[in-house]
Amino acid sequence: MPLVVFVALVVVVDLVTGPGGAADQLRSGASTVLGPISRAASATGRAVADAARGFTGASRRETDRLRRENDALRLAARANAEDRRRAAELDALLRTAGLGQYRVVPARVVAIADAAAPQALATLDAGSRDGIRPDQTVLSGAGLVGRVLRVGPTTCDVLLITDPGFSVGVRLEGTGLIGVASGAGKRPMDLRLLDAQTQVDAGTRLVTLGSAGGRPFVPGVPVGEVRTVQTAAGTLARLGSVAPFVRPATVDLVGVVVQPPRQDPRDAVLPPQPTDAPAATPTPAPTSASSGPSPTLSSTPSSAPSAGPSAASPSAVASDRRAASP
Amino acid sequence: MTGTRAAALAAAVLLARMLDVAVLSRSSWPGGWWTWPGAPADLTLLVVVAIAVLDGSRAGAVAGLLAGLLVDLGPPGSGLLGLTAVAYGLAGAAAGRWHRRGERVIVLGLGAVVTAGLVAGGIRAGEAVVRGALDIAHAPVVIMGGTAADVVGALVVLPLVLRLHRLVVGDPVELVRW
Repeated sequence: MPLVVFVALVVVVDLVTGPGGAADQLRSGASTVLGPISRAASATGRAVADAARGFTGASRRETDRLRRENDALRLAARANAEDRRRAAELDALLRTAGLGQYRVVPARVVAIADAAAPQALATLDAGSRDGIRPDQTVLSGAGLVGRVLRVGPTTCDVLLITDPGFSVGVRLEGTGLIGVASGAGKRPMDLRLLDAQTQVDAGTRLVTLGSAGGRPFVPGVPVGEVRTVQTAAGTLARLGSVAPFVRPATVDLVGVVVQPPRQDPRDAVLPPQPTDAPAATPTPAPTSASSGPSPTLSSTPSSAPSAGPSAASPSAVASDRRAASP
Repeated sequence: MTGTRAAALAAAVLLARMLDVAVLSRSSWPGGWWTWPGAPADLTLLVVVAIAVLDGSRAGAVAGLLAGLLVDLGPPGSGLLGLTAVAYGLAGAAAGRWHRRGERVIVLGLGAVVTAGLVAGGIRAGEAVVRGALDIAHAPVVIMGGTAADVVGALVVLPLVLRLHRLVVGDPVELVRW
């Protein structure tokens, strides 16, 4: 009976206090205890998944010793492939960060809300000890992932771009037209353009507009590309849909922007258009960090890639020069 | 309920929740073959159902409330704080209606799982619809799909929890039948 009263109480508290209130503090407190458990569980799950990945198909033919040796080698090769995939993800992330001149803390997704959960949330293995604060931008190599909602000592909860409560100011590539994109669950994001005159084509890409002080959103993070735009009768705004670059349920390695860029990079961090002339847009190769002087990583030697995908320590990738000067 | 028994069941709930959020809800399964129209199996709910089947409605409700609070408070969190507790509490109470003293009948257990899956899934989907995360037309698919996944998961989870219970309590050997 006291339990029922307590549960009723917390429901009321959450309803009354709203975001950032006592309910969120309660959750942050709980993450002090449950965060490390979550991290450990995720690490264990990863290890098991990796083992299973190397094991299937090979376990049937473990009859002789040579085959077994072969399997062991194959296992090692697949583990390498997985490491390479993670390294490529980190490279893409650092490239985005370098082009946009963000200072990012790399982190991994350790928990994610299931498909039926009322809110699209994920937990990262970086927290207040790593410099994470509420309302910071979370991005991956492909683009915007979400924003930090709550922070515990070693973990933080992220509101993902698919959540209907998520909305972000966006700027269209090229024209600079602004609008608002908001999450819509499994469907593509909703887009409201604040201008009914300019022609907008499907395929136009969007970057974040940026918030005052860079929180919750730093400017210039790729969001997605326009799918459809239609003018709703009787309104001044135009509505449309946006296919996000990031599918949050599949991301593994992300970065949290702990320091916004000094200048708005506008759409300079978008990946180059396939049809563009190669000279028109910057296309640093993934290996640019190790191949001599690179404009995007010039002021900071490439210390971050060597830290490895599991590093949750702050790795600065900042540059004093603009990434793209046409 | 003895201390050891409560601790063992609490550990089962915690483990189930960790598996839910760290493993099951990732859609990047090896090869990406796992696409299910509903939600994946809710292991946390299944442990609650197992407790309800073992001990009846009252124990099921208490276990559901506590497990729901864990879901609500623990990372990555849920929607309205406390609503999952209510959903799981009601689901546990409903599943407890399938409790028969001293009997371990698989059909009864699966009936309890379906009941609990529909109750909890309905409440959670209701909140998602209110928040705009889910189309109301799509809600039945999510609820049914989630419940179906729960039934499949129950074939693994229920025997495991019953076995754990017997290990801790030291029940005499009992008949498990259809």
